[in-house]
Amino acid sequence: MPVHKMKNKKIRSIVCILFLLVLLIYPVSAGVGIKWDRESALASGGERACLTYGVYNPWPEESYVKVSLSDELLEVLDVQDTEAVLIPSNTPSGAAIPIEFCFEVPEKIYEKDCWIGSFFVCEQECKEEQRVYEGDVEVTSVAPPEGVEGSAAIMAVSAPLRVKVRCDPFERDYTLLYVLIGVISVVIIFLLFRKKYGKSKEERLRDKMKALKSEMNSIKKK
Amino acid sequence: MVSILINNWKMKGDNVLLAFFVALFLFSIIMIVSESKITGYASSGTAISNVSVSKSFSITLSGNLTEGITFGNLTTINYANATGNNNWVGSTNQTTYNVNVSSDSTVNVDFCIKANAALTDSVSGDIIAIGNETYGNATTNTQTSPGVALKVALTTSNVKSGQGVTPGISNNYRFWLDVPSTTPSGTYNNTLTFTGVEQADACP
Repeated sequence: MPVHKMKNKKIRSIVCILFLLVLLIYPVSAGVGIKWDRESALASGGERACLTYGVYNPWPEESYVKVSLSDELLEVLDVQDTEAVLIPSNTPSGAAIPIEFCFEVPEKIYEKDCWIGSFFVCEQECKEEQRVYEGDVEVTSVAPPEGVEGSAAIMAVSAPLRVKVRCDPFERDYTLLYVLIGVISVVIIFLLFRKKYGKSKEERLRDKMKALKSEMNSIKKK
Repeated sequence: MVSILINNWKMKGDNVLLAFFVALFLFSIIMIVSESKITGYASSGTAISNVSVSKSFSITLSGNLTEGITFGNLTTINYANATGNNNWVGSTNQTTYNVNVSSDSTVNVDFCIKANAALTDSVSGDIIAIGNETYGNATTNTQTSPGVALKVALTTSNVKSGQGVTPGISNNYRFWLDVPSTTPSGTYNNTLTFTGVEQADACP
């Protein structure tokens, strides 16, 4: 065998041994990763807002993770796609597993000035500060090893999540008042028509006769 | 005569009333239409400018850290070094407690650390106070760094440990335990959580 080929073989063996040594000293393990394209959503009161985060694991062992939200966000959380996910090994960020969170923003966030209750002839001035539900999405590795004499270690990654509630100012809306006036007018018009034309022909003639009689009596008296 | 007048007046009154409410009805219709504010549309040309920003990062614990931070079987009450603090293999003297940031991460990472509780013996309920378990961290990994001189006591709230760790780099840890002489014999354990957040973000 030529000398240079023997040299190459030797170098390759040394590289392999060094690589194995590195693996033994720093054993590889599973990991957790988080990817996000948007960390804020803007929604009006009563609307639904959804945000998607991706979980991934570019490391050589699969990992089992739990996805959770901080308490501040649970107040408005509507739908969470899933709670626990298995992330296969060597999953790059480009192939992250999407987890969707949807939030139902409460209707009555900002103060409205109404004539009656919270519905009749209202206006909204939006003088208050913008309401923001702010918290974190946390992806945590599940179950630390058991039987550790000392401190077991678990890992987590976290990203911010914000749901901003938009305040849309509006002037006092009198539509309901005009509708009410219209309905009352129609009802009264109907009653007046009924009073006038609701009697039978006979009754109407009798009424006319009565009127004529009383007129004649009054002429006679004169 | 009076009754005729009254009758006439009644009939006329009804008609006036009817006319008034018809007018009121028409007025309400007009006002409803005007409240709906029907306006014309302005027309203009637009050009859309668009950019999307995506962020990602991933971390992993070194093998020794995954297996847990053990302080060994202490037969004498002393100041204990965690067993993975120094890797004597090859005399590199580096710590093997590392949290690695993947090289494909797009942001720098800050680390937060917390303990779920003090080291506790689950059978007897005895504890070693949480302040007695300490750690040091650094992005360098030598015999002296992370060093005991900058040790910090663990707490049950999440606090920043490593900061601004760049992709492909590790945040390295050493742990120490001060065992008071009055500590009852037993097996003590707890759980530490290492959380990665984007640099400058608060710990969750």
